[in-house]
Amino acid sequence: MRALKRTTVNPELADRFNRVLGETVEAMDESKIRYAFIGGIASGGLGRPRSTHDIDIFVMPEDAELVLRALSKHGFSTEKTDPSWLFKAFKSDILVDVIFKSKGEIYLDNEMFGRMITAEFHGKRLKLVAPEDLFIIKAAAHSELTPGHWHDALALLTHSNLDWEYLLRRARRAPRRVLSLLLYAQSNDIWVPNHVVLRLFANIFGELADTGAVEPSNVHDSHRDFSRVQAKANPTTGLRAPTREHPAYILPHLREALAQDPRTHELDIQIEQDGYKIVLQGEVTHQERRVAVENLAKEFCPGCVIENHIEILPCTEPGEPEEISRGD
Amino acid sequence: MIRVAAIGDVHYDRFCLNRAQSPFETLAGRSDLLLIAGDLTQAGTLEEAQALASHLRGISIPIVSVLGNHDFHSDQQNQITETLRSVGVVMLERETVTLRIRGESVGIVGLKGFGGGFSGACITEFGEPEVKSFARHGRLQAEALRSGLKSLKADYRFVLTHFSPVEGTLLGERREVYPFLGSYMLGEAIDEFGADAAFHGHAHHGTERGETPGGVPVRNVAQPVIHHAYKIYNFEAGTSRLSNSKRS
Repeated sequence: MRALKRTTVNPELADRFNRVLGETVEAMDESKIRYAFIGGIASGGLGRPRSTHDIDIFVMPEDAELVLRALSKHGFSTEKTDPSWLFKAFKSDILVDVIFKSKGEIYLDNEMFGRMITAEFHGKRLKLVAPEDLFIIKAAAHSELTPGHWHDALALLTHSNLDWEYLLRRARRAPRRVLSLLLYAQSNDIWVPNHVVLRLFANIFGELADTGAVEPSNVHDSHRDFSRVQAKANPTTGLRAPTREHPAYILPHLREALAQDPRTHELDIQIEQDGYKIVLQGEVTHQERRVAVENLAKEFCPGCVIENHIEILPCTEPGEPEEISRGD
Repeated sequence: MIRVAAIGDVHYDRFCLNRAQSPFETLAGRSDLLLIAGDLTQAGTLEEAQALASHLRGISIPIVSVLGNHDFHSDQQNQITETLRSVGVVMLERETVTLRIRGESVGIVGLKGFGGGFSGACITEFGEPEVKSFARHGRLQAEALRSGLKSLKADYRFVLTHFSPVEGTLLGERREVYPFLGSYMLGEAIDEFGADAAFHGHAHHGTERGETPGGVPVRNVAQPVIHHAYKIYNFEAGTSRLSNSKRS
């Protein structure tokens, strides 16, 4: 548990801000919707003290409308500002930004939610995104008009103990941004382990990093970097297991494999994914098929944990016939 | 009265080859006719069809079936059709059959059907050749259904497809896949010439009961929906509500 620094200096505004923040927390906690604070509140809690006049909460896209409803129930006025990433709520002239997609295609996901930390602020417990996630969000959000993000992120390096392994993995969302920020930090004598910089570089440029044949590319961060390491294609099906790809691609490829692989040809399994955990659900006609699907999933997603919840479809005697009347 | 047993999406696979017990053994005496709404096999292979054929051989009531998309996967649809015909199954693809059951005539139009979507979200024959060919296949299937129903004279008239003619029985499926599960054009053809009921499969997560906009009962009999080896539907003799039917 951390103690949050004061967020503002004007005493009247500070009181009002704290009251609305409290009501936001109350509304959100009552709604049971998964969320975490980002923006100034998280920066203040995890990095440098910084004044903020608005409240940024990060939620999953499917929950964004529910958040507006929950806040509206607590007297906030709301608006669906931009359905691609941002809704807003207001109370007592304090703004709550309900953000469901951050710049660089960053979403609140289960893993991020699981890493969230709690900080205390005026007797309230606030849920903040982990410093590593905030670092990546800030790195991706930095622009000419919002240079504060860059320095908020640097402050996280000096104020928080970052889990470098987690940062490296999550940096797949904006690897070039994160790499440049880490190098910048080193240039300012902020401690960043060399191995982190080198590994992130290798993640981006793959084998090219060793040959010196690195050419700059104009591709945006968020859509690259995973394809560099080519997985071996299955000789029978020509399908490629996504060993080092971004987890977002595991699901469609696994679906394709289940449909096309001669051992399964199964189109009807519901697959859910939570980071590197794959949950298989649905019904098949017999146990052999259930096992075949699980085995293929294991083979196809070597780094993943496979949970098999597939059930065996009953094939029993029918019940009473349905009488269908003919005509009226 | 006629008692129609129906099932779809039995998806026989190589594991079914050595299964002694046929799920259809109990049919005789309970129903007059078995309809199978396609996806007889999992990978569309001959050996899978042989497994199903062995379970259907010796069933004493008439069996009428269509193919589903799975049955085309290995390009062995013709062999699958022949295999089932060899054990007495009436395989229909854009064809009709009229059976005589206890003195009454029972007509069935059977075809695979195709996707294309429903009102507000359906494909049209426009753009790239691949899109046009997808849309065209669906239209031709619907045209075949229309001409089949137009010519079918029988006391009872049924439609048997793999793809769905209505949205109602898709409830439970993701909306994004509706255009791959059926086509409004099939429903339109049914409403134009009427039928006592339409049976289909394909939509494993859908629901059993629906009807066309014109009021023809539609049943999704995919096995994952029915949750039994088959389901029996009884149709009382009487006048059909639909004017194009012969009885009216």
